[in-house]
Amino acid sequence: MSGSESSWESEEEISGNHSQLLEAVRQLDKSQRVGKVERSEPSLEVSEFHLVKSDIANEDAVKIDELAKTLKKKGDFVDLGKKIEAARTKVKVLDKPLEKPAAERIKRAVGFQNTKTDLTKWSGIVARNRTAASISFPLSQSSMKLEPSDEYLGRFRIQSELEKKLAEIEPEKKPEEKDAFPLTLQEIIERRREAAKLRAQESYKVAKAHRQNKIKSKKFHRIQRKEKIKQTMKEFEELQKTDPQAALEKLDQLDKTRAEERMTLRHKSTGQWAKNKQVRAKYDKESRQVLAQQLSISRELTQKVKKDDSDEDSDDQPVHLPNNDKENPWLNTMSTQPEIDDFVSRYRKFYDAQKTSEKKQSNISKNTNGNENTVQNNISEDNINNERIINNNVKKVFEEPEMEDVCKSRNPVEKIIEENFPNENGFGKPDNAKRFCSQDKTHKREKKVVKTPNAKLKTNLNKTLKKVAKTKGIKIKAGTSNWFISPIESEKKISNDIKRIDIDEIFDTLENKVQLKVTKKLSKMKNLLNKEIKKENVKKSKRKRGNEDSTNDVEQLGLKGQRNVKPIINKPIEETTNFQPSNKNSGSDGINDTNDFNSNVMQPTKKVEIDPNKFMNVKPVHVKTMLPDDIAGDEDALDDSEYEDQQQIISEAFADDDVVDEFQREKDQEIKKSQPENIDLQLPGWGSWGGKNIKPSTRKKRRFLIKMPKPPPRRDENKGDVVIIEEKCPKIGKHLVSELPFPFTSVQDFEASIRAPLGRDFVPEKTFSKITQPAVKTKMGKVIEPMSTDALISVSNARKIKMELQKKEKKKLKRLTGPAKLEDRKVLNGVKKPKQKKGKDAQIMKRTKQKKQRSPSIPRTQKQKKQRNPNTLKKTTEQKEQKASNTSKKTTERKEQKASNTSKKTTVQKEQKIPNTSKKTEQSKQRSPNISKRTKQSNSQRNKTQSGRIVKKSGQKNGAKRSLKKVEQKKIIAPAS
Amino acid sequence: MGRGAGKGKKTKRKVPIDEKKMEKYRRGTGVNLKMGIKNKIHRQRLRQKENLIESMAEQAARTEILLTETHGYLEKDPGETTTQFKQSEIVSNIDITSATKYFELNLEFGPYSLRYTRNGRHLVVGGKKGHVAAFDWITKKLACEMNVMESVHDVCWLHIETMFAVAQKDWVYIYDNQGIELHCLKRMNRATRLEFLPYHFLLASSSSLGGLTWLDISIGKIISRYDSKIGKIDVMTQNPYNALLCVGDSKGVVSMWSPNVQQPLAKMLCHKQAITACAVHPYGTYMATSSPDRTLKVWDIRQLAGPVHSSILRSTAENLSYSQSGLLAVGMGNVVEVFSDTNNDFKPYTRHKTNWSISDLQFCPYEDALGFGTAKGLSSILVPGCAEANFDALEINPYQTKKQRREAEVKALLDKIQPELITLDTTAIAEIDVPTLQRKVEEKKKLLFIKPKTIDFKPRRSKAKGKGGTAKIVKSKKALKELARREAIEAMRQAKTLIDTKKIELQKKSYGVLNRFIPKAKQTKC
Repeated sequence: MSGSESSWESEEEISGNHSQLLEAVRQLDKSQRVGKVERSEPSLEVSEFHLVKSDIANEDAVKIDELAKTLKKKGDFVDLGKKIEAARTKVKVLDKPLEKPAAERIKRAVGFQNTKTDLTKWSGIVARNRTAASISFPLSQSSMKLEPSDEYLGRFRIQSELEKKLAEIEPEKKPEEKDAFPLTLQEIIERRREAAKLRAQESYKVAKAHRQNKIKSKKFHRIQRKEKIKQTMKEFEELQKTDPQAALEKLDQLDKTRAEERMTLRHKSTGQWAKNKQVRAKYDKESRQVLAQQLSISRELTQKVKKDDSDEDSDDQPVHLPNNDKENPWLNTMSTQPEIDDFVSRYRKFYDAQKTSEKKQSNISKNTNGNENTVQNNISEDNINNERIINNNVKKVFEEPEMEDVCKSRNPVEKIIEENFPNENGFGKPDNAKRFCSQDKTHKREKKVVKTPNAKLKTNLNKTLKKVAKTKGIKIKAGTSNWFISPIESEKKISNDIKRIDIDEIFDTLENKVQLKVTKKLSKMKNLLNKEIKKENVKKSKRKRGNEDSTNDVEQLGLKGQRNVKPIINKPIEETTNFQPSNKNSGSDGINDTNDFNSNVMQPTKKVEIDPNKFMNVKPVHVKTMLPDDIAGDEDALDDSEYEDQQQIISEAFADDDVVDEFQREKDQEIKKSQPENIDLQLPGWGSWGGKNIKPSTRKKRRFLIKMPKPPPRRDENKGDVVIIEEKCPKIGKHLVSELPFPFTSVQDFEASIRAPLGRDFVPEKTFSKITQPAVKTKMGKVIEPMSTDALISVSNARKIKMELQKKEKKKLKRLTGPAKLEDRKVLNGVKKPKQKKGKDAQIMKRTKQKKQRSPSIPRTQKQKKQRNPNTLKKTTEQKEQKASNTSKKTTERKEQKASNTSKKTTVQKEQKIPNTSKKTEQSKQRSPNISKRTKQSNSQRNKTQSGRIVKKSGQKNGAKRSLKKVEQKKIIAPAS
Repeated sequence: MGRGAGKGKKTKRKVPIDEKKMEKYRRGTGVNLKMGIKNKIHRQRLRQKENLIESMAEQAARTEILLTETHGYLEKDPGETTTQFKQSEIVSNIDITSATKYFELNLEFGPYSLRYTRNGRHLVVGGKKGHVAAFDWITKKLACEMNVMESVHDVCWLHIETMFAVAQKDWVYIYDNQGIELHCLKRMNRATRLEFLPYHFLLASSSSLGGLTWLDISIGKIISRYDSKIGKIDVMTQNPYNALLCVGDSKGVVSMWSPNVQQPLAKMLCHKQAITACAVHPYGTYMATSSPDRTLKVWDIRQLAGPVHSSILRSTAENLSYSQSGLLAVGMGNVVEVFSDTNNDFKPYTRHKTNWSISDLQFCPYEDALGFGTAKGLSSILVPGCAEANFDALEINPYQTKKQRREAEVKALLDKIQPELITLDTTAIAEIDVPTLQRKVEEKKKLLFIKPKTIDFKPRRSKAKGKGGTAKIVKSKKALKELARREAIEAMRQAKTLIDTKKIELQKKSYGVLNRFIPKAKQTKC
């Protein structure tokens, strides 16, 4: 004991130590912990204090269900176990039932909703019937429409031998059907991925563009623009090399930009920005520059692009000249009078210098230099002013003493032409131009491409060159003949001059361009001058014009095409002033004054004036009619009506009696009558003094006067000698509609709805019968039943569905039979591989047939499984064998049943084809094991029906696959129909 | 295969119709379906109706190809005029049947008046001295002939060729085609002119006392009878377009009368002297008037404007008549001259001279003939191209049988238009009585708890055709504004110059030495 005690003690000690240790450890851990309750001593008493908390219970703890499990096994405690289990299962207590009215309310609401949705299916048909012009009851009447005769006859068509043979050789092509699933899943996914990628890329680009657009740095944009231009240039050049046609097309884009520019005011001086700049332009050089640039851009864009193909040979066509000064923003800008004078004087110098070749050379150089100066000085020059320069030049030319003698004799414009033409003719085309003609075209195009995007691209050198060209152009305008005699020379001279400025190489290329422009300008001018001559001749006959006029005319020459049009349009107006209207009277006797007649005929319709005197003063036309005998003094014609004669005399005597005034008075009276008078309620002497000579105050007058509203304008207000009594006829009022019927909200609409008459006399018979159709028609003796749900499928729709079904049947049948024939032929030929395919095909078809025969409720997967299983497959094949002969017959029979409309002919054909199919099935039987093998191999990949896969694998085209799908589809449809 | 190809070709494409032609039958703008009607179903219905009207127009336009006939004309060689052809020449160049339409009847009983039936088949003539005769003038078969032993002022067919009215000395009588007196209309006394309005079944008469009477011959009741207060009425015609009576008076005024109002609906001052004759175009577009001052004027009677043509003849036009194709026959003394109005060119077409002065004149409908009564008989001459070439047998049938006539009579009676509907504007019936409607709406607005409808009262036909339009109005407004502005500126300028001159004057006014006493403020002020 003691030992044991000691041991216990020691044990106790140990445990005490241990517990102390544990305590210490616990104290280290500050968080309070509820210790695990332990049952220290066994007791029979069961109280809540002894129970172990389940939460804290360890895994070892015995749980009730475990107990129950054990109890369950024993017979006696089965019930107990069940009870425990029942107690354990949580039972959700139902809510207290709603009060009756609330429940009812909900019920009603739900019911209403349901019926509402249910009834919406009727809305279509109801709307149709309501809007129908006429409905005939009973609604569902079988149509009496006869089948088109050719369709009907088509059924009885029997193929001749030849046709049959032909059909064998060339099977009828089926119209391409839309595949229900044209893509496989993978393909679809791939596509989607691609599309997503594209979209993403697009969005990135959009974002980038957006970001770049927001950049405010001008420099950045400038650089970007330049890059863009370069890019386009490069592309264009490449295009030119590879595909000149496309390049040409690209050039057409220029036209588009031109049109756009012409439409918009983007580069005009109308915008706010431009206006602001204009305000500043007076003082600020920079803004002037910018404005000029802007304008030049617009000018460039609006410049007409001439197709070069035509201008070489056709001089008659109004050729647009790419006016150099227009391209040059600096020259287009303002120039002051002294500068112009300076220019003119220089020009004069130049003109003088022409006579001597040496002088000429120096002059040109001067000119160019001068131009450069002007460029630098006058940045803000206007186009008009530029023209003025030209005009001045021209004026000067005309004022030249040498020319004067010519001027006297002829029209200055004519003279110019005469001067220009022989030059041209004698000179033909400048050699350079000839030589570089083909090159020029391309050059020009390039240049334009460059120009349109940005005017800034032009180099300074270009500018100077153009200036040179410009001076030339001016010279041409001036019509100096000497210039043209040696254009190459002059060209050379210019080039020599330019050499000094070290731009020789560029000049060589541009020289041609310039030359071409010159010729173009010339031809254009020629056209213009031709017109001008005509005009001038007309003018000449009418009035004299001094030098100014001639200059004005020439002024037009210098302008661009658009501006030139104007005077040409104006011209006929001047002509008409002189125009003598042709004598309209074609009667035997002439009319005295035709002019009067014409004016009178025209006037009265136009002139509706209030003054009756004026109105009556319209000059009548004298018509020379045949004179009656009695007036001519023939005694034979006795006038019986003496009374009338008398009256005539009287009326003649009183002619111009105050008839007109009287009528006017009548009219005034009528007008007065129609106007309601103001009511004066003022009582004299009330609140003021009364009596003679006392005028009531205007204020009072105003106060007591009830003003009537102003009447609407009278119909005869401006009609002169016409009185129209507007008083509404009370009698017609009875017949007028005085209320607006329901759907209309405006008088106008209602009046429009009754605008057309309905009577037979006014309306074509066909429409008359339609328009007078009764709204409801009933068949005598027929019961009108309430609409059934059948009405939801309209008759035509139902027919359509039926037809579709029939068509499908037919197609299927053909597919079954048609290829089979082909198969047979090939078998005969000894072609093996297609035969295999065919065999498979047949098998597939058989399978589908089988499917059809089976109840449609069998899920597809089951079938597939069956088929996949080689064992079952064998079975199925056996089944097929058994059924093979039956199935084909059966199917045909069924088809016949369904396609009740299909003719005998088709059935005959089918019957012919049946044996083939059975043959095939036999073949397929032989092939089947292989198929099964293959199916095994590709088992994992399959999503679709096995048969479909097989088809794909074997390389069969879509036809078979589709057939299968069709069949499946049909199955789906079948129960519905 | 061949059949299949045929099927494709079978789809017919209708021949497109000229848009102008369509416009002719379209009857104006339709209902605004987009804005006006809110109810979907009603909108759909109206759309259907609009489509129907459109198809109606299309069909009508298509049927125009059935009008195969074109009216004749006188062909002239270069240098010739149509007026130089004499009747004898014309007759010698045409077929026998047509040649029979040129004839002359020499009768005894004074200046004759004559009238054709609407289908141009029958003719009734009345001599001033009591001779009345009705006959089929084409076959020259006489229906009846008698002397009423009274002065006969005018004759007129009623709706069919079995009855005609004769304005005799005191009263108007109605005879049948056998010459049996059917009625004596004593209330139509002293009648000078008779007109029959075929669609209203109204016999209208004007009396020498200035009265106008309308008698409904279908019910035998006088619809309206009142004094026009313009004295003796010698000139009266009807406007076939709106069934108004155009009465010319001695003051040169043509007034238009309806049986509903005891006032003329419109008056036009046409001449400064009495009106001798007046004729209205069958389409109701033009009216020709003449007066003793030898003027002949053509007016636009729809717009009540004009004259479209005004001409002075060499003698007074005493009789006027319009043909169906728009030729105007003018009777002057013993000369009849036919004017044509092509391309606004009013000129003589043919002329004819008889022995006797012409008392009455009328173009025959559907025949290229012009009949006129003279002092000593009546004659018919040929005027190529004066009649309508295509007749609508359902409307007026020149080759009517007895049965057809009966049927047409019944139909016409059923389609009779009530005399209340005679208005200046024929489309008035198709309009809403807007003032009444407005009044009704106002009344409804006064009622409590009733939401008044918002109605757009703007009538469909607010302005004359081709006149105005908002754009035009805006333009003219702008122009006027500009004008006003310019005037104002001009006025300002003038005023300124005035001030300046004043200033100068004032400044110039010098008082010599005393100038220094002029107040400075005043100086500056000036």
